[in-house]
Amino acid sequence: MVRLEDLRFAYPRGGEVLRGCTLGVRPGEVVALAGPNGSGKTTLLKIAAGLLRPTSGRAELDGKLVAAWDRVVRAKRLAYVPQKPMLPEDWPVSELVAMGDFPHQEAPPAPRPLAQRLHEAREALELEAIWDRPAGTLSGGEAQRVALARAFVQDAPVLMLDEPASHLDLRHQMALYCALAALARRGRAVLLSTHDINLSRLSEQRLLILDRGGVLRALPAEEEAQGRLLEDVFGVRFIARDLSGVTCWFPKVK
Amino acid sequence: MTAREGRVLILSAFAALAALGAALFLNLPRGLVSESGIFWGVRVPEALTAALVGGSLGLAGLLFQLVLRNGLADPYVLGVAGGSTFGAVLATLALGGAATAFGLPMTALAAFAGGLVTLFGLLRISSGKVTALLLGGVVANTAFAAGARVLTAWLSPSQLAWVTAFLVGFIPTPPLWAPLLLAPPALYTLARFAARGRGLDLLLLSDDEASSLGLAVGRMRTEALVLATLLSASAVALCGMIGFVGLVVPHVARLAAGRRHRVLVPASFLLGAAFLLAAHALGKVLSGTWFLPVGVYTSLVGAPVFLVLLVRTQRRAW
Repeated sequence: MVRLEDLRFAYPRGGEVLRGCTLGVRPGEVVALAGPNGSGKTTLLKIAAGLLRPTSGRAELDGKLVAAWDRVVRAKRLAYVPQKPMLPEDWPVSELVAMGDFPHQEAPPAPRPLAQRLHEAREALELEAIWDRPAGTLSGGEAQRVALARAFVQDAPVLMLDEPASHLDLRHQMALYCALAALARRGRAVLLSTHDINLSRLSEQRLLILDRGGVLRALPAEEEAQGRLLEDVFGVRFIARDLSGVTCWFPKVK
Repeated sequence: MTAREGRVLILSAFAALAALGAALFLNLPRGLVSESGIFWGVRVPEALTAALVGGSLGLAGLLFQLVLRNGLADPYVLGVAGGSTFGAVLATLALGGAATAFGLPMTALAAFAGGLVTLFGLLRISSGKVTALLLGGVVANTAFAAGARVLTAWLSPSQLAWVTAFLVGFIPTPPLWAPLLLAPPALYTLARFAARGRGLDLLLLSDDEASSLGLAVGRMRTEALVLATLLSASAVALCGMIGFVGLVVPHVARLAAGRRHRVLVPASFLLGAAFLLAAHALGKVLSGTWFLPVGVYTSLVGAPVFLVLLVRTQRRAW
């Protein structure tokens, strides 16, 4: 469904960020990208979403170059939420969430009615209490939930979310990850970036590490190798703890 | 459309019609043999001009403010009006008068070229910094106004009075077909963007968000800028630099009708028409006392209204 092949990317004046990233996301799968600041997670997501052209390599959506899709058709298949959404201050939450219906204004109409999609997104991201508030009065986490709800209403089979949990409190992080797992069970594919490797692993997401050199690395199965990879990439000492059968990693505090 | 949006549209239409009535009939000299001659030869073309120019300026202001994400943007502030004026004055002086079937379209074309070159030149120089763009626009306007006067003194000193009126903005008494030339671009832009209001709404988001929702952001923005420039240029070609309509009208429309562009586009057009028609009618009423170009009235009313809006938004920000 999503296929990235040997992606390389260099910003005109910023040097090379990605050096050969290959990755596939299948229906029913939630893939999480972790990595240090500036390792290229956002760049990778933007290329995968067709918002940025790679310097070389291919980014495909459903077997066709993601940049070659007609914009509206692509928006029906792929929803993207940036790390810092820009919401016009005087618009109420309800209307901002309903903007997710924009691509479905063009034929063919969305398979499910807008009212149902709005209702589900509102429930999943717990927006009832702020539904009529203007965006200018929202906190960072609330704004992030509004942008995520908009992507839910877009109802695309592929979701790309740039650090969707970065401003969320623990309760809403859990709610979001549960909602994403539910979407995956319905055959959706999700690609997201995160800094919380443990929550990702506990939520049964497939975790990939993007290292500073711009290369994607899968987490090895063996515990010791996992620890070495993480220490190497993040430059901190970790200790392992087993939580309900999943090895979780915590940085050592002196 | 919500009930409030519907009410605002109906009220705006009524305001435009009432102002049209006032501009047509107020102070019409009664009992003269030439009464119907004055009505058809003066009042009707003037009122049509005021309606279309006001609507064009209101709509152009809305589009500029949206695309540049700045409530201070309007054809006047951006230098578009100045560039257009310079082009128009140049064409008029070269052709020896604007109000001919050949001269007016040529003047409009020169105004359009002047406006486009100014806008895209300033966009390039300011490289995305809105403060630089607006300051550049103000400077360009002043420079173009001075340039237009120099051109006049040099080419045709006898037309200095006309150019002075042009720089303030006035409603000429054109032949009846002249306002009809304004109608196609104005009505096209109105219809085009009223139908694509939801797309305009998405321009309020970041480019990445709007694009991933399926909007061709670059194309939409360029189309809005070019059509807004065309509208202001055709307004300038006929009436010169009328200030404050493009600046104030979109703010009033947003205060009344809310935020959705499906409604703001027609509301800005109707309110712009109403505003300029009302200013024109005021000029007719006072014409026994003073004779002043309409741009004086729009500035006299528009400046305080804009100050009030500015203070209100600043207060809210604190």
